[in-house]
Amino acid sequence: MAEIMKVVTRNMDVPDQHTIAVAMQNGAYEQLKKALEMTPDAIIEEVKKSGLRGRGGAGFPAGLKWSFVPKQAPKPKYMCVNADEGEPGTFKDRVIMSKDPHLLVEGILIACYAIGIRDAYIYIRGEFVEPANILQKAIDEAYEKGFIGENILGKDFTCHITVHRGAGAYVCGEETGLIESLEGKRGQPRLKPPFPAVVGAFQGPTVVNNVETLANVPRIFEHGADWFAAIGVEKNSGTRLFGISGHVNKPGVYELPMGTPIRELIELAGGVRGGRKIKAVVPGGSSAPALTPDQLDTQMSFDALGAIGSMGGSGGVIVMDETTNLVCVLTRLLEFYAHESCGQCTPCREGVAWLKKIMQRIRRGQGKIEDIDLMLEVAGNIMGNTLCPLGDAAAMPTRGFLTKFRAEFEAFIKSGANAEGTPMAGEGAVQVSVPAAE
Amino acid sequence: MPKITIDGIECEVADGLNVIEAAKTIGIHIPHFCYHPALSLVGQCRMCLIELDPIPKLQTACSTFVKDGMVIRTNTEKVIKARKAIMEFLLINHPLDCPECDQAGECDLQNNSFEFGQGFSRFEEQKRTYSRDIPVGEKLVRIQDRCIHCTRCIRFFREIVQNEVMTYQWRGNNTAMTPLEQDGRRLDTNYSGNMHELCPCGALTLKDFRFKTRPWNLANTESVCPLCSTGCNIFIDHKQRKIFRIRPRVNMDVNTWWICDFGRIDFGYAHSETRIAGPRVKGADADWKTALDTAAGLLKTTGASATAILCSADATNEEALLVKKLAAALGCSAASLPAPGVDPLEMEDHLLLRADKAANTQGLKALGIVPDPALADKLSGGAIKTLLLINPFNKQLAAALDGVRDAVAKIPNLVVLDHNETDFSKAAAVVLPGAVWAEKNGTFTNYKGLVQRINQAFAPAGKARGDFDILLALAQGAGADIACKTHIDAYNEIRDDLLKLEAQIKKDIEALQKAAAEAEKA
Amino acid sequence: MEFSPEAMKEVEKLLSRYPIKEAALLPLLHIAQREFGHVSLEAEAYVASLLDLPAPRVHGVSTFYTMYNKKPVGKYHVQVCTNISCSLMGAEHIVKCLEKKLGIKPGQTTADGKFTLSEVECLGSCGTAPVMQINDDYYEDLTEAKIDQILGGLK
Repeated sequence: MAEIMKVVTRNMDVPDQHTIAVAMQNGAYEQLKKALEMTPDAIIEEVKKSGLRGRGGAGFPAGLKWSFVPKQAPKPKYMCVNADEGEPGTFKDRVIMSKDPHLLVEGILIACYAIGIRDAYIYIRGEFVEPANILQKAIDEAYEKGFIGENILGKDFTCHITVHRGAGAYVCGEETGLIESLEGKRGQPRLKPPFPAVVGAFQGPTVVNNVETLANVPRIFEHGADWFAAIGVEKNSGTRLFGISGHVNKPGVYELPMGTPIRELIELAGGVRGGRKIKAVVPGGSSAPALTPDQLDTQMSFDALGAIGSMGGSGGVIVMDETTNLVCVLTRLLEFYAHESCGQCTPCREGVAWLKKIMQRIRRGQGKIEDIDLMLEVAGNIMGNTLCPLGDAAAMPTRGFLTKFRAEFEAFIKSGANAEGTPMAGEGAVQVSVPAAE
Repeated sequence: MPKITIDGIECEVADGLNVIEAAKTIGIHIPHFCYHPALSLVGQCRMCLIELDPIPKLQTACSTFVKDGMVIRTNTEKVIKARKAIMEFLLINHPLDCPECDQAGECDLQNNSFEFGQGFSRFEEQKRTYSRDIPVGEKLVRIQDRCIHCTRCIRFFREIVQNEVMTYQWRGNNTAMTPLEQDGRRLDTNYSGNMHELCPCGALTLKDFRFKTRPWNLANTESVCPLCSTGCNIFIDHKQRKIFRIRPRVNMDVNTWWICDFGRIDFGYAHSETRIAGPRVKGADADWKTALDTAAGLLKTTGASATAILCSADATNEEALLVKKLAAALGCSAASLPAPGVDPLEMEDHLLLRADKAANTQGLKALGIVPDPALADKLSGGAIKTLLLINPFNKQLAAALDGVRDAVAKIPNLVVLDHNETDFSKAAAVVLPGAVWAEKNGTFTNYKGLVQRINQAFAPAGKARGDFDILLALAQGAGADIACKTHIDAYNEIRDDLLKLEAQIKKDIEALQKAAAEAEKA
Repeated sequence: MEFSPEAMKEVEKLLSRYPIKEAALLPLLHIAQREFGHVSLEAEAYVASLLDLPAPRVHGVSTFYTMYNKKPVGKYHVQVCTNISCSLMGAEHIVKCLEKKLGIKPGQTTADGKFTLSEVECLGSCGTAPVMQINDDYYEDLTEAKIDQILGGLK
């Protein structure tokens, strides 16, 4: 069975690790000191060599992203830390920010030094009031100690970090939606190109990195890129903070090497509650198409999950046991995406709400078998035609559930059951008997 | 100039064009809703999706700028399918109330649906609805049900009018374009009417035009707005000798895509009850021959020094030529009055409105009909016994006459040529009913010397006649031998003078702009 | 309608953190909600004046984000996550318990103005589902008994 590997979470069980005194006893800001002795190019090379990929969802190589930012730019450059953790099933960045905020701050500072950035904004979702307060306190302490501010550690390096709270919009987790929101606008993603690395926040070149991505950076400098690259599987190096929720006995955040099979994570989390069978597992946040029980030996890496038509996404694993009503699940998911669609582009604004309305009708017991094919076509018409990935994020799980679990949807429709207002799973959930596959 | 290939056609197009504009140059129409050349790019409607080699995902043509060697396809199965999908999405919540929608017939949504949609809907759910017929100020009516969220209205008010009276409300499928009167903003800007052309779907329509007629029943005459010296290019849309609306006609050298709301809405005087019904002599109705003979006779009675012609700057260049010729035959002066502080170049705002509220100040100047400061004294002092007063209904001339109103009304041989009644026409010895601009042919010279043609939309109302014909008859009655019998002849006679003026004004404006730029630098 | 002197100090500090004033809009709307209870049209116009922005633009922003309450809410705003992970763990039951105990439906406020009940999207605490947020605080691993205890502690 897989073993927990504490890289990012190493000190998170230490009492008062969120205070600078304790954090420094555990080595906080030592890697910053080391990095400031290196050239920016050497830092970027080291991160590239480590193979660190973005932990937000897309898995883009972090070092490469940093290297896209022009060295000389007429406008100031910015760092936006994506702490807008909003993908259903994802709850790892909150843990990092609450338990070990200095690790994140150190990662930010190293990145900013490497890219030549003087201003970093941590865009944290508005609901995270407590994590934001902890983070702010940590930043204040780091200012006092001279790790943030003018001429950090006496070097020619100045960097300011500001905590910026969002206000309830999932789409601000998309990097250009985040930038718009940071600028005080509606969080409507931007038309690309230009990409943020060229024109981002306040018209300046901008890097948007996820919290977990940056929290890995000090560890890379502590142990070396080769050490980091050796963790996990090829092209998917390091660990991930997998958040597992749903029908397992011990839900929570588990740090495991990238590439650990899903089945082993479920076992680590105490297995399925009540010893029930698994019906479906969402492997990387709600946008990732769900897996069937026969797919649970898949490695949790960006590439292995991509290869079977799903995705590693945000590392949020949602386990659904056999009592789960998937009609309720998909309806609820589509209600979420329709609620979070920013509304600017046609396929997402109209298409996702349409899918939602069809599913709500099906859930009420007024569905038709043809609705399934219609939904698949509508989802297909959304896919790839939207301005930002939110449309795809709604269409992908729709297609996933309707194709992989089609028999259950058909059985539900034929049964004429009304599942509105019923529990999604467990006692009281509407159960339909699905004819065995031929 | 980049060489590109669109649908297999190789072409060379100008630098900096997006694919929509590039395709247009070779006659390929790429449908779109949110894109407008005057507004910022948003790429939201997704109607202009095209294939761009070798990118697998469809790209928005509006935000793709031409590069040498680009290969674009607008007619593939994938593109056609995407357009069908977008049209279906746009229509699922649209009420499809074309039979009662003013936009029908000139509606981008309708036209694109017809050309690129699929003619049926698979949507069986409840449509999104809002309260209907919400006024947006005095000029527009909003029906949010019809809105397809192109955001042109929001961008227009923000970027062009620079007065954000429209905003978004809520988000996602509930997003509504919302007019808001806050922090002292008034919903009625001077440019709100442009929504009529900008809105691609009838969500914002003109209150004045509601339910009046169908656009396909209207004749469209190309003309120029007479209400200020900008000379915005317009269409006069009319039916049965009645104007139904005025629309902007794109002219990138003058008004670009827009007109102001005054030009759009203030045409009521063409059909007002105060139109002068017919010729009059000493207050009594007369036939044209009697009126013209009487007028011509009067103009000759008191001698050149006691006779004057006073003309508003709404006269066409061709009419102005006849005024000059009439004055020469009479030996008297022809002038306008100085309107206090009016410079034809002076702007009232950052867009189109100019302080000079006459159409042809520059044209009259080119022909030597200029403000005569001494004339006001002569009028008030009683030195003028005979006056041909042309178009005192014009606001600018009326304002200039304000101080001498009583004196002018008392002039014994007052001949008024105008289209609407004024105190002057009521006091005149002879009244000659003339035409409004929509009833005339001719040219106006705008603030920067550009000579622009106005075309007759319909014949003068009732017994009225064209000012050109009236002036021709008066000049002939005064004994002048006039070779130019039509406005075309007249134009040919003055063409060189007008073009010379245009060149001169262009130079003057350039000098002014240079001076202003230097002043700003300093 | 004006911010308190303390809030104004906060505003000043915020403005120093951004290269453009407009960027302080979201934080200022948070302050407005704290100061005035909810974000009314008047509050939007006031915030707009502090940032030299057109008020309609501020309205566009404040209606985009769900955390800005457009109407007054109770002293305690009880927001229950009903997204997937919480629903799998019985969020519907939690909502029903709260409905029963508070005597209101989601979207409503108790007659005494003490509680407003809302259903919200994922709160990012899926490992401790079901979850609710009351004002700034999270309450996790909810059960019916726990709800009694939590509500009882709110004066």
